[in-house]
Amino acid sequence: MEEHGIPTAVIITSPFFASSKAMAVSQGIPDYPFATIPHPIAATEELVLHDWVDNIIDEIEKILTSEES
Amino acid sequence: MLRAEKIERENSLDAIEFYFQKGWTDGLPIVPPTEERIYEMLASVKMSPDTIVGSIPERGRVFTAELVAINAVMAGCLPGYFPVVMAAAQAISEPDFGLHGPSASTHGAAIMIAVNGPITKQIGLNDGANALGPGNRANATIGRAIRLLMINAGGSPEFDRSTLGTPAKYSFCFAEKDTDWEPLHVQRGFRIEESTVTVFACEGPNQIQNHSALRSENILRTMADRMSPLGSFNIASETEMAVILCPEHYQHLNKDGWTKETVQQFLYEHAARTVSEMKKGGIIVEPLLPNDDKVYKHAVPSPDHILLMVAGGEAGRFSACMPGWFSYKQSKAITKSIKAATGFT
Repeated sequence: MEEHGIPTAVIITSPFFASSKAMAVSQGIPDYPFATIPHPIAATEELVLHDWVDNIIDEIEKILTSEES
Repeated sequence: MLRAEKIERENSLDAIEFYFQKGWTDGLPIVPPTEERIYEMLASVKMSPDTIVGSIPERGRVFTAELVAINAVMAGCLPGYFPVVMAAAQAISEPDFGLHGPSASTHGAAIMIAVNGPITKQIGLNDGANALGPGNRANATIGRAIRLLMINAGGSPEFDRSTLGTPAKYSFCFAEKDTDWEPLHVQRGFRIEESTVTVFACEGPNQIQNHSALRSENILRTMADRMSPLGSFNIASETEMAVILCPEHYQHLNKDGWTKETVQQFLYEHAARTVSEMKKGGIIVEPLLPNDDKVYKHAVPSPDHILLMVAGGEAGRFSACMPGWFSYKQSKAITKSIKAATGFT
């Protein structure tokens, strides 16, 4: 999506850190940033999910607006 | 000329141990892939080592003929099996198979490889007793070659996030039996004299037994029940399903005038769960409504989304179904002609 000029922030859950890093390396962008929230998203109450997102919203803003991204 | 780095070890046993230490196995000993053995594989399909035969674009991984040959040697394949391995490697690389998804997914899908046509007899692929079990070199090593390819060239160590996985991930390759019914590859548009592989991302076999039913419909209802578990993606999502009927079940149905078409139609209609059951199981997270016990979710979107085959030993009324990976919109079963893939006839 970044290649199409759309600012993008990737959000992962903690067990997928290694494979997300592997994907970034495969795409030639090893330092691509992503925000991490707890696991799992499935079977988690909506209010809790909102909480998790609130905790990373500043990080998302930083990823979307930083020069490196 | 081969691109793989040459490694010198003291002897074969030392080489086998080295591969364990490097993480280049499926947990079982491999056959050391010497240059001579690799070239024997390539000779069976007359391909040069650097021919690109497949890829996983999302991961930036490319399969060359050399890489497939190396893993086929490691698996214990004979060169005569290699056209099947090569066709399977190309089939899983087809965009519609969407290899990245099912092989990274927590679902832990196996790659089923069903083989049709003359090659099954030529190389002694098992379609009979223990067709899905151990004991036959062709069955065991062809499936294993594809798994080793995924481990050593497909990026499985970095990307495979299977929660449980399944023993079917070690190897899942068999031949469909010749019967009066139309073979799978003919159903899927190939000529009967063609040899093909059909690859499908799915669970391991979910077995049924029905030794008592005198009516064909009872056998099929038992299968339909197994095809519609609350906990499969066939109910939670929309995907295909492979079904293997054992010879005793097939003979009973065939004698009663059933064809693959009528069997698939019946299974499609009866393999279903109510929305009420789905809500009680939390598959749908919504309040129960009065009519929910009258609304059905079918296990497959249509009869044509069932891959129906016959295989197994002559004794015993045990058949099996293999629920598909998450969504047929992201991964479909693919059938490939071995001749088209390799020039081998």
